[in-house]
Amino acid sequence: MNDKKLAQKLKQGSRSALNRAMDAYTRYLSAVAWNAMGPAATPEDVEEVVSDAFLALWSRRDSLQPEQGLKSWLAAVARNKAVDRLRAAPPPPLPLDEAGGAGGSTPEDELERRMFADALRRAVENLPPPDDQLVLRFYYEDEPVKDIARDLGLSVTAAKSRLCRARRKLKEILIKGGLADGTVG
Amino acid sequence: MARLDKLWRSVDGPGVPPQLDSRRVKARVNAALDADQAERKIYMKQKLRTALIAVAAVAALTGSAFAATANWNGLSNWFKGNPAPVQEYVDSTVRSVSDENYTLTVEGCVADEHSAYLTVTITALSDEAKEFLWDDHFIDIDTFDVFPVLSSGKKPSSWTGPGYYDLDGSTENTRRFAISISDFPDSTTMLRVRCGYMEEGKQVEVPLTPAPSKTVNIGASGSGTPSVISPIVMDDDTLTISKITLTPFTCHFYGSSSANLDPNIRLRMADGAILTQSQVMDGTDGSFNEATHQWEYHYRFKEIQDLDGIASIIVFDMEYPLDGSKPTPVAHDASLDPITVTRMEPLSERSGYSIAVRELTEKLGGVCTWDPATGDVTCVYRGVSIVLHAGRGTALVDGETVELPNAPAEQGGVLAADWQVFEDAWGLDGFVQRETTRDSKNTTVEYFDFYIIP
Repeated sequence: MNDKKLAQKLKQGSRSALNRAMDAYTRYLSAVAWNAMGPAATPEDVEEVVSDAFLALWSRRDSLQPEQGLKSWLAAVARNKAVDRLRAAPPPPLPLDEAGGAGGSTPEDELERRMFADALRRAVENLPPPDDQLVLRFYYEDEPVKDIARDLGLSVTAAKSRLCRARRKLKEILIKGGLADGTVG
Repeated sequence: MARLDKLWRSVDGPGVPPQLDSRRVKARVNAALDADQAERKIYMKQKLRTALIAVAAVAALTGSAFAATANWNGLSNWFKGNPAPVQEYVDSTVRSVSDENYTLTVEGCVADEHSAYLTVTITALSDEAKEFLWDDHFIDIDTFDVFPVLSSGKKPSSWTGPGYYDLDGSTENTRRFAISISDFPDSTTMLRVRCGYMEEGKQVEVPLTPAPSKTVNIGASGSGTPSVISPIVMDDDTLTISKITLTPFTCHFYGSSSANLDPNIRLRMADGAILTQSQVMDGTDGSFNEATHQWEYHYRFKEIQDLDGIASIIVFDMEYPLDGSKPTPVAHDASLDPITVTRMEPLSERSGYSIAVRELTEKLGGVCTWDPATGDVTCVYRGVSIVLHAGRGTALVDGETVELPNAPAEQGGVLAADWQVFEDAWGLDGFVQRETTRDSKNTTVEYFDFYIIP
């Protein structure tokens, strides 16, 4: 179901459309929120921000404009919610964070993962265009490759090839920064 | 696997990337909404409807897998020319698997030691699945996964994901695709094919019978050609090739390049004719083989090749016979060197740059004539004629009408046309060279002339 249809169904009060929107956009919004809040944000912080964005989507469904889709609307709301959350309760500095991560990991593991995630995101944003947009939109925003390729003036094959090379480039960058192979430098 | 997970794994990230589980978010949001009784009533009504559809779908299940045999002509989805040299390697067994939403059917397959070509059908088994089958989001990079299984039983460390496109013959609840996968290791014995929208574990296993290949050792370095991926080459950029393997479907070379250079391979055919890489091969996929610590590049032939019809490979001005005999130097043929041709303005708002027609033809060594009586411009190269006419949206290629994306037009006294017609008719490779520069605020892309590889 495309964005426009989802928005139309939401306007009609469809809860399954809301669930589809959550399936489609949770990962994207978590990336948006984490980017806005920084690596010190805990998964609980981000979950709350993203959940609030979807609750806002439901409560404001009557005012949605289907032809404008949902993605940019949700991203703007998530970003605002993240900023509100930071203002209300800034996360503690990373070394003091005691929150465990996925799979019962230790606070040190969690710290390492979040620092790596932050370094990876910065490396992606510093890739030369159009690779920066290609990687962000494909890996972080889950957009169909054909849509990204079209917007960037690439063939789908060229976009996939660039994604493959960008992954290698990112690994090189992270190795130089001492972060690949799981080692925080 | 989610895309971010894949990226994370490819850069050796520790553990799994910090991200949210959409199920937790859904549970949290739905719990908040269900606390409101008015909301809950709407939700339960919708859940009931979904459950009824699911029951109907389960009742329609036809079994987990079956096999039958039919004739398969999927080679024409990927290759021109006569399939006879590889017909004995075509596997026409029909294999299927189903879950409650879809049936995945592999209609047939043919492979060499590094690539495979399949025809796959997805049949929707429920109304919801049918709706999604034709949704814009159905086609995505994860719609199909094709996993190579090695003789050791392990998965390879890396391979290029499948490429696919829609085939004719689809219906409202059935969609057919041509799928190819390349760059898998030569010890691959089987492919596992799955659709990303089906349950985990629902997959079709396709054993491989690779078509034969011929390998020549090269062990040499030299200059390569730039590519659309890496369009500017510096003088000291070099390409090293350790060996080249030819199969009826692909040319696979092993080596390394300092700047994503393409090789400039030529084939001497058994009848003495020399065919260039641009004439006989399509674009490339590349991957790094962690076992051999070499790059592997993979070019698909445009037509199926009969390996007995190829005498030798020419690269770096050396000729390497396929029969394993000693390589010999070969005179450099400057007429096959890459050329640059003036970049002209786009012919419409949505098209790319056009190319100067006469300059292209004459720099290649062809002949370009203009008939003042008719206004036709006739360009002949490699024995193929292309007739263009300013303002006309079709061309004649060896007498056959071909639609053009845009009508050719005169720009400052020079006839400009879209590049594709020349690329297709004359077997060329080419692109507009560009250089990207970036400072802290702006990104600038500077475009240069066309780079044409005969």
